[in-house]
Amino acid sequence: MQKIPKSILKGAANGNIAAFEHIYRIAGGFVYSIALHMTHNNEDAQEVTQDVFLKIFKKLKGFYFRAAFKTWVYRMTVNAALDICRKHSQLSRKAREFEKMLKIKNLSEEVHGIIDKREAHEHLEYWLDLLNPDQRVVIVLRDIEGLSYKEIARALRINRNTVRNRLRRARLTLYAVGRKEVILDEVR
Amino acid sequence: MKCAEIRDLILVGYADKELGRLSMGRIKRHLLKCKHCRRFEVLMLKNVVSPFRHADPVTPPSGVWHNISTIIYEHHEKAQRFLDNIKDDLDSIFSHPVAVTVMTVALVFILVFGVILRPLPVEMQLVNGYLAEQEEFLRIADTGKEVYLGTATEDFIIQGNFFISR
Ligand SMILES: [Zn+2]
Repeated sequence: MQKIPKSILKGAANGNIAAFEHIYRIAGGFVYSIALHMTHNNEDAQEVTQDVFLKIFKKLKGFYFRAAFKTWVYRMTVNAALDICRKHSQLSRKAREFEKMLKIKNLSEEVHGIIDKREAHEHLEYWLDLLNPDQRVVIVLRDIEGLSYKEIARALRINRNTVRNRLRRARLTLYAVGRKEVILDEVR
Repeated sequence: MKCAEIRDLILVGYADKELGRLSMGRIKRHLLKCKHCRRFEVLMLKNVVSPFRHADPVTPPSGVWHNISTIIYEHHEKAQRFLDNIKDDLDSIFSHPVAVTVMTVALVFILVFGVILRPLPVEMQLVNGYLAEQEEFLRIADTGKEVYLGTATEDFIIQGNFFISR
């Protein structure tokens, strides 16, 4: 995220809507991106983005000298997205189980070629869905948003070793599934 | 370093350039001579890291800012309306001479009875009574006469055998 000038932050903290729009133009993209990759749902991502920015507008005055703006926004976004993930986890787990069932069935019916595997590969959602929300969030922050381990640790309020552990587990899962897909490709 | 350790560092640290110079060098040297770890590195970067790093950037639909700004304006207007209403109410009250007189009298009553002539709470009355009683006892005791006024202090001394009768 591009750095936001202090004068803009101050203006928005004093209720200047033009200054606030400036902040939205800079930070709106990554808030929406994190939310979308975490929830895999456009409407949820829009809701998270809206909630986060209304919170920023309300709390900017109290925040603004306390912590780095970026970290603060990352933290709010991740928390809002994780809330939605938890809210939907029951529902999506069932949907995923159903989907998995379909996939297994389809794999055995290769001839019909119902699943375009390459398309599935290209869909990040397919990969992110293999991870639990705690692992997914570190992949999103590290590899999609490009945060350092230190920034991730601050945003999630965990220590750097926990960041490493989650990243390790997430990448091992992705690696293992990737290998399996390659082997399946070779067999076919 | 063993291959397992190298791969673990490739998975976390090396792939993110979050390793010290020493470890980075060690891994690079190992990769030059070990084709298995080299294969691991290539597959890891290709399958696990790259797809996310090259993800298409996403932007929120234009409706999102519209919603946010609308909500902010509505809140602002609501707060402004609330303040305006209070101001209007006060204005209309103070434009009536009768109302002003009534409120002034009420204010004076509150000041006089509520603040200046405020009745003492029960505890304060008890303490004041006790102090007055003590004052009276000490005044008489000072004269050297043996008297019993029935005060709490006298009772305490009598019960504790502190009183030596002459
Ligand atoms: Zn090796």
